[in-house]
Amino acid sequence: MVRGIGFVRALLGLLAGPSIWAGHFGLVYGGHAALCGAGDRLPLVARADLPWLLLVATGSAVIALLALAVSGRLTGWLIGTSDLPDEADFLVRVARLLSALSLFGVLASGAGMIVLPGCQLLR
Amino acid sequence: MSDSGISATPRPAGERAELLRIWATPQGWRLPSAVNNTVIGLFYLGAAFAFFLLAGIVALLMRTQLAQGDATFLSQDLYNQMFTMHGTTMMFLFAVPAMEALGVMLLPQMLAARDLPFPRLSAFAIWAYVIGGAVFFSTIFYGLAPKGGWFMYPPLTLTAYQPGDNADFWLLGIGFIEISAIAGAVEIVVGVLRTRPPGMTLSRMPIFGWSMLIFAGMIIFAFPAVILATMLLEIERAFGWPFFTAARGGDPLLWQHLFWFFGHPEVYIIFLPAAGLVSMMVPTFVQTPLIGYRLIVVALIGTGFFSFGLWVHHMFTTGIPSLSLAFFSAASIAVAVPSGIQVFSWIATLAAGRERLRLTTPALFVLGFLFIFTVGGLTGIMVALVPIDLQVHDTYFVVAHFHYVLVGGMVFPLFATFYYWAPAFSRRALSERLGRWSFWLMFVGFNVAFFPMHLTGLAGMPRRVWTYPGDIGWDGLNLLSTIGAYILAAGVLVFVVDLVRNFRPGGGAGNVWNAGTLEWLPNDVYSTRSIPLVTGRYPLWDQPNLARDVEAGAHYLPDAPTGGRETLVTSTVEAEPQYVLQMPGAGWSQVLAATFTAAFFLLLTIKLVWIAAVCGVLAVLFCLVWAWGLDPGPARGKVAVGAGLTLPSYMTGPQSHSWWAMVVLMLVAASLYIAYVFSYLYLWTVSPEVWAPAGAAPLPPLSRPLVAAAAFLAGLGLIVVAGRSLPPPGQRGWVAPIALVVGACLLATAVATEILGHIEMGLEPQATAYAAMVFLAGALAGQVVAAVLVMALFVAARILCARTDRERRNSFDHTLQLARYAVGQSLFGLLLVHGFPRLVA
Ligand code: HEM
Ligand SMILES: [Cu+2]
Repeated sequence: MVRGIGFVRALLGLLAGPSIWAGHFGLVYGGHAALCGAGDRLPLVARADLPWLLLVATGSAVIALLALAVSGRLTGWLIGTSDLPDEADFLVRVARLLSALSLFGVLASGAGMIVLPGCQLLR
Repeated sequence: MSDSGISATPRPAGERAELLRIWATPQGWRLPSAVNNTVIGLFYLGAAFAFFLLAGIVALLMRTQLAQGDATFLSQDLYNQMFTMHGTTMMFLFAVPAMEALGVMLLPQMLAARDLPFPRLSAFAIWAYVIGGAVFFSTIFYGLAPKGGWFMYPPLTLTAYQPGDNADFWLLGIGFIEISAIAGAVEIVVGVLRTRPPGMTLSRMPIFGWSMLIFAGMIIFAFPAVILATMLLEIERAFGWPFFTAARGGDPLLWQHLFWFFGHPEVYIIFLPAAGLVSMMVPTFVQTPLIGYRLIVVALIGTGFFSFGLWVHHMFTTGIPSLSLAFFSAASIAVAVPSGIQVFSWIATLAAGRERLRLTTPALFVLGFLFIFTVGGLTGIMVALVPIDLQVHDTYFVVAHFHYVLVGGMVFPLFATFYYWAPAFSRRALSERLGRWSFWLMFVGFNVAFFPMHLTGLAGMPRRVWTYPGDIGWDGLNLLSTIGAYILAAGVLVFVVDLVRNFRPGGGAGNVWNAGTLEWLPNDVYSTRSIPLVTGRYPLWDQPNLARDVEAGAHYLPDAPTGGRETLVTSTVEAEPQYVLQMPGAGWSQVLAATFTAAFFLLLTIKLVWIAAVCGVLAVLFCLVWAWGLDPGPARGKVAVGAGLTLPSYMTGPQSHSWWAMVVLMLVAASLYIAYVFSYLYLWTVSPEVWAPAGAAPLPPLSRPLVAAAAFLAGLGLIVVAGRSLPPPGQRGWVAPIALVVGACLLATAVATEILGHIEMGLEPQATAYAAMVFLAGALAGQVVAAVLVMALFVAARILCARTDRERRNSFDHTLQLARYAVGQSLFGLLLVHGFPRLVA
């Protein structure tokens, strides 16, 4: 009997990078939309907090994705080990490439924040 | 000894005859009761192709009308119905079903599984789709077809602007066909993850398996958004709950968000399987393993994710802040990267084996796909840039762009698929000569038809106009487009002729292309004679004796140890054999359930509420009849599956395939609910002034939701107790059924408590969007709880009939799974409805 990788763990490990991208995307889009639409009525945050909220979100996503893309050990630990080493190796490599791709995605949406002001229509 | 280390001791005589008997396809008038994936899959594909032809004819009629300015061939109203019908049919009745059909037909063959894990579920999905789709399409013949465009934007589609039943046919018809897409997704997820042959680890899975897995995953998260949207719009049309009416706190843009949260992933839902098929064909063309397998897996997963971050690019012109648009513009450009990775992989593979490349018909269609899809991708990048989109939005430029992507990215690979895989299902291959004719006519015709549309679009011609003035310089280009459309149609016609002359289903012509994957193993109604042990990505290339050994029964499951239909279940990652899945064979209950489900929705559309209700009850009844025969229990014990291995023939708990199906179903329910939560919060940001306590009836006192929450928890507790008191094997018991039913009733009481609380405070769902949202939370809780209640009654009956007990317990476990989900969702709903307004007050 082969001792294998648990599916749920493998899945979470495999999708860690894209999930961070999704979380970041949801946060910056949702955060921006919510603050623009209802900034004055939200508890805890106000519209003026927008720039640094976006910055913190993007910064932490970038750091996490860099770590996942660069460190095979980190990703390997997330995914778990298998009696079939090739299998774990395959999943780890796919996961790292996915993190790299997600990093590109986060940077691409992050770039907009540098050049565009929040909450304006610009046309 | 065979090359996979499995010894080929001669198998006892009569095994094959037994397999043939067990897997026999019903004949004659009994054919509709069939469930074999090759039979119903072919039927599914045929139906999807028929819808392609129908929608294509509609397109030709539209092009005829547009051939010159000021034409009067079609009336404006009919034209409106036609583009709506064409777009809707192409997207919902052709593209997605065609891909699901290929999943049903090809996946089990590629995985050497005897069938998909839930054969009757696919049959149900297919019948529901065929009946519902046919009735839906027929509305065009009596002027009842919807005319709001394939994306049915309100306010145009509200009753004020579109009275009559036309829009309702779209909302109920399409809404329910999506249910069948979801049923297919359940099937595909469990099939790909659990019924791979031993040794086919994830890293050896055919790319089509990967692409269908992502396809199914995307359906699970995307389709619920549009199902919720159609629910909202239908409720607004039927009962006046103002979700989309700005004057009462609704917002038409909510529809756009929900629709496109589904609609953009939809185009990748269509494209990814096609890309997967291309990744299967290209290596065969050049007899070389795919270059960049791992990168393609990355690209598929990446596309799946990114495609959910694009939806607002359909809304660039709606007045959303520019920074938001920038996020979506960036993601729209980022998604080109994974598509580019795939294109480069295919080109690299083709280049690596170029001296072996023969330009057969499927190869031509693949090359045509590469060219057309790339052009569509380039204009895609263009419209992803906000300033360009502001210019060309809703013009023929966009029509050109999306036909390049859809026809290039899906129709051409589909035709390649027809030519490539026909010999696996037909005793005769299709004709190369006719195939070439078909390809060149389609390729030239397509470009002649659609390339000029870029220019008509840039010249300012809006989409969805039934005619245009004849003297402003648009005639020439439009005439060219029409001529191209007829050439394209001629190409399709040649294919149909080829099909009629050469396609002879049943058996196969053998491995004519010398391909490397398992669908080319010798097979019959039972699929392969035995289920192979796989050691590489291209088993037929890596294991030269495989076909012979499999045919000799040297691998797994060469016989039918449980005496019925069955296949092997393996572990998700390493594909280690785990147990033998016993599956149902031919039957009528799923056909009747599908028929009555379709009737329910369609009769509801034309407001025959009582007959509809009867049909709804019958549909549920036949589902229960069908489920009664499932969950066979451990009676057959462990069975020998060949190759010296003995496996259980029954499984419960998280390892069982039905548990997985339930998890998938709960993910669907959760997606729907997340779409609801999004809608609630979205409408609040738009119109906070109607949210309680500002503009609406105040919330009930906190004691009310607390009582409801307590009832939810108590109900769940009772169901858990029922699980603990299930009778011993083969016996009946009274405690469990009573606890189960009382528990489920408590859940229903909790829902009622919540809804009545708001009614007592004087809240009316028609008054404001806020009130409508509050009641909808209750309705959504009620919907899941109703399902739990039906299941609880069903399982109680099973316990009383000694069909469910401590060991034979899947039916019960799934009820508990759903009850847990229902309570979780409902508690969250209470928190949202009672907590959020207090939080922002
Ligand atoms: C077979 C050749 C085809 C032709 C000649 C064709 C032609 C047309 C025409 C004339 C329109 C209406 C344009 C307008 O008035 O705005 C249209 C719209 C559309 N087509 Fe096609 N089409 C073809 C294939 C397809 C395919 C294969 C798909 C999808 C898989 C597709 C999806 C759509 C959609 C979604 C619309 C938009 C409908 C709307 O505006 O609501 N078409 N097409
Ligand atoms: Cu899109």
